Amino acid sequence: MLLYLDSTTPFGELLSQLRRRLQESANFYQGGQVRVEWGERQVLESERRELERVMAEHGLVLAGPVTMGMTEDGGPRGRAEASAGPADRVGSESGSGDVRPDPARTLYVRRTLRSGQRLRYDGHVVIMGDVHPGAEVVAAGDVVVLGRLQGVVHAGSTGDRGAVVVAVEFEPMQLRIAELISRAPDDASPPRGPEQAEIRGEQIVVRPLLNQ
Amino acid sequence: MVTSGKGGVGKTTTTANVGMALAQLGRRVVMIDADIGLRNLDVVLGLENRIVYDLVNVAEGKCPVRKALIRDKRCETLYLLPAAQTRDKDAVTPDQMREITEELAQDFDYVLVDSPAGIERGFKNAIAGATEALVVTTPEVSAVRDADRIIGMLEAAELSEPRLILNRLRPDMVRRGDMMTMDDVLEILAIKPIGIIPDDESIIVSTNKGEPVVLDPHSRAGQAYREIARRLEGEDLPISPPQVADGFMGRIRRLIGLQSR
Repeated sequence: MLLYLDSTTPFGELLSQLRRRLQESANFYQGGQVRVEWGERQVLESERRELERVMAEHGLVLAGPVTMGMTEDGGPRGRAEASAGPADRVGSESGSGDVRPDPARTLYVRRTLRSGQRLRYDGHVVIMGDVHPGAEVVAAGDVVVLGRLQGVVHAGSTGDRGAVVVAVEFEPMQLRIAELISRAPDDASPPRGPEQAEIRGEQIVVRPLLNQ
Repeated sequence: MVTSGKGGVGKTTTTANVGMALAQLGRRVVMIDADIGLRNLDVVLGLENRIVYDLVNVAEGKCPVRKALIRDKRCETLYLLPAAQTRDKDAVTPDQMREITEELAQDFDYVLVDSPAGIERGFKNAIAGATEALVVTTPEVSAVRDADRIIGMLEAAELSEPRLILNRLRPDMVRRGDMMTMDDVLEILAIKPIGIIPDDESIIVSTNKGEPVVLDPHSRAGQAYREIARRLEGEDLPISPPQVADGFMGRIRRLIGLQSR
């Protein structure tokens, strides 16, 4: 079950609406797993716990993946959790369309993403660490990896064709920008240093980041 | 807990041998087979005809855990809590596992949980009571990929530093460039190593006989497992990759210094 939280409604009201809904259909939801789309809101750790408690009262379990947001102290809420549900659909997600996210809307993550971990953010993402094969990064904006990028990366996930992917060691398993998909050539080429991928025309083009 | 993600890389063999090696050093060790439905730890130890009660019986409250423990026929401080073969992994819950391991931890120096392959309920059961993890992998891409996934889940469960065991290393293949080295694997997985087990035919023989390889003083794999036990006990033994030629001429060559590592 996927739960969308409207970003403009105050959290307290959301909770009481949710409670009412759950009470009305008490048995229907029993024992289910819920994935939450927090949307644009800034979520407090305490709010997340409250939500978990309300759901637990009705036998529901909050499952991954959880869209990353910002916590009270400005750090990323929770960690990129291993996905328990089926894979997400390919292609653009519902969102702000092809408007570039504000540069201030950037998530900075200082760890390595291991296989099976997924990071999703409605903005730009900077990762100080590696992205292992089997890991996924989905961002509405740019993706910058200060390390080795070997997983699946999707920049401009809501449709922004101007999004770019940058990595110090650029070896993604699969590369997506907006609705275009690309992958590395099958022949293993020697390391080429930091590179940037962007859309030019109707293709994804990869070029060296330095010595432009 | 002894885990890997991938099946068939040596978790059960590792649990049995490390357990026995620790017992040989005088520690009180209990091994729990968490692979309900596909139990193997009892077979590898040669204790399968002594099973009366099992993990599921204990979890269901049909018998106290002490009654289900089987003492090893060779080491008197080594015990086994076997899995059930006629049930499956849903027969036990993580909470039950946690209770059982915590109860056993009071009477034993080491509680080794042999985790099943996979990331589903069996793994969740095995991790429930665990405080530390040994991750077993072979030097192959698919095994390492699965190990990476498992390590991610161990980190998310906040298990303190998992340690890596590289199993079935073949120095001849490494020399030819056909197999990953420990360094290659560590570069990908980025956790601390605790031992390398060379590929050794004596493992197959010993498993079939139900006589763990640490009992064989001539086995190189047995030697490697004994070293892991010593490292777990705090000894600072350096980890050296196994040598290539083991024959007489190989040893002579190494003695004279003609053969590179």
